[in-house]
Amino acid sequence: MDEKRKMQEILNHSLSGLQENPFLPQRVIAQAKGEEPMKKRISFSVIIIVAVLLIGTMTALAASVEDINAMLYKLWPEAARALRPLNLSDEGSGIRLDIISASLTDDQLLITYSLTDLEGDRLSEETELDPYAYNPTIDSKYSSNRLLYYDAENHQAVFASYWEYLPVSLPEGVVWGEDTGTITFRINGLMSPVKTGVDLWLLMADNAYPAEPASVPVANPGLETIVASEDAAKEAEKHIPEVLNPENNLHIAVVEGIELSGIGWIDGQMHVQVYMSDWLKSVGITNTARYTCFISLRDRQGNEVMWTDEFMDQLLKDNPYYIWGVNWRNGGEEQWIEKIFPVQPEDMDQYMIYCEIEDRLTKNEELLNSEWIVSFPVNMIQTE
Amino acid sequence: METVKGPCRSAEEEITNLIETYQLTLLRLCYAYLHDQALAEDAVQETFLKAYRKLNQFHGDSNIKTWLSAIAINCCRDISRGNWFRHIDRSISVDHLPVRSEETIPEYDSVTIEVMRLPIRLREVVLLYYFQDMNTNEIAETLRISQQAVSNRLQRARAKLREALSNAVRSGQNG
Repeated sequence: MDEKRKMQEILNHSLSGLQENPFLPQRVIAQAKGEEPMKKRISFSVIIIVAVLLIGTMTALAASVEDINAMLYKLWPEAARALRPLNLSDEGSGIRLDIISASLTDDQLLITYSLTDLEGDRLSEETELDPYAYNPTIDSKYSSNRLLYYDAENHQAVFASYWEYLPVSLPEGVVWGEDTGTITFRINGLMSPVKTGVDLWLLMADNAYPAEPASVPVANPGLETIVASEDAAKEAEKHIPEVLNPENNLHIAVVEGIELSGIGWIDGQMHVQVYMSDWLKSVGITNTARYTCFISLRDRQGNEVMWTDEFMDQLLKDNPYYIWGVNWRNGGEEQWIEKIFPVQPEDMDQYMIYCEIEDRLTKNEELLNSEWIVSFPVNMIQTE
Repeated sequence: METVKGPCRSAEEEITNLIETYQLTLLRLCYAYLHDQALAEDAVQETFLKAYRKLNQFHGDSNIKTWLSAIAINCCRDISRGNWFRHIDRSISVDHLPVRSEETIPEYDSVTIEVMRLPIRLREVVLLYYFQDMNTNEIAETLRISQQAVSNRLQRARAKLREALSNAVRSGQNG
């Protein structure tokens, strides 16, 4: 059996637990039809189009529920007719959830809602909901949640959430024909990551540094390699490079929990060592670092240079492999990351050692674990 | 009564046929890429939706499976660029593989896991080449990289997989 067929057999066997969805053809066709202008069903994609129109036409955003519904009606009367205005709220952690409107048809649920930060600017255009944590239904076959727009002046983000489900798996608590059926809309977490960056070379600039080579202090460090052949990969694993002595940490703070330990040259290669004191933590259901630092070699215009195929090919021109990263942990949450770049001190006016910092928690930690819940009767929004 | 204008019946039949034929392989492709069943299902649905809308643009320049695979891998790429996707710990182990009724073959699962653990740049090339049976030219067009880059990545991926596999075999022997 050739290599390809063997690999196909392996993957097919290991992933044989994945099952076809027999309703997918109907779903795809229905969704495609939903874009037709004469459609009866509510199409989430049309909602998004409406949102774009809203962004384009609203000069001074009126944040009230009535105004948003009125705008929806003006721009898309069919949707506005189907979407029943609601005026329901929940408040927690200084964030108010307002359900603007909702619609429930035979197999689709659409809810538009806003989140308003009453205390500050913890929301942004980057605000996301944990897709596993907003859930008014069980067994929904398709769901989507989109930020429609963010109004910075009023600290308000407006979203639309859409679920598609089969009649046999209606939202929990929903019973057709009974007025007692309710829908509970629940948000279990918000995140608004903030990205910044810093040139580690500039941070290093005036620090005297011994660049003392040392062995990696663990037996099996992680290696990041670029190799020209399978044999080269095996060979690379046998040649764990020396690293900057972690005992000589300069403790140059990059951001809380991340330090630039040092930058120096070993065997003609530039080594950049970063120490992370809280590598991974659990916040709610999410395993994440408070901050992360993605290190890359960039030119002065900010373009990544290390990962162009041309650059990698040049690296391997005379060498069968290149080890560009070594990382190790001490068994706990501490981690050291060392990147190795093929640049010389005299070339450093051409480059940045860019650390892209993603702040995942500082602005949001409380919101990651907060909860907003609104319940309302099905018959308030049932259209068919 | 409103008249609902829809695509012609033959297009519906055609997309239905495509879904019935290729849904499973694309679901497996997307799962191996995204490590998440729900996201993989989203990606597959999006793939067929895009295919349905572009059926009239498919002229048979490539085979239909290649065409669908290209759409699917780009859907996976879009999803993986999402912020939340990057925040979730998507480390994968044998325990995370979908439960199946067939007898488990540990050696097979080890290979699958190692494929899924490849860096995304290598993983997508491996999945398209081995699993979707695309050639390097088709992969290059799909991923918008040079054929040489595809070959390089395949070579690196093979190296990583081989090393990992021999490790797995060794640890099995030691255990």
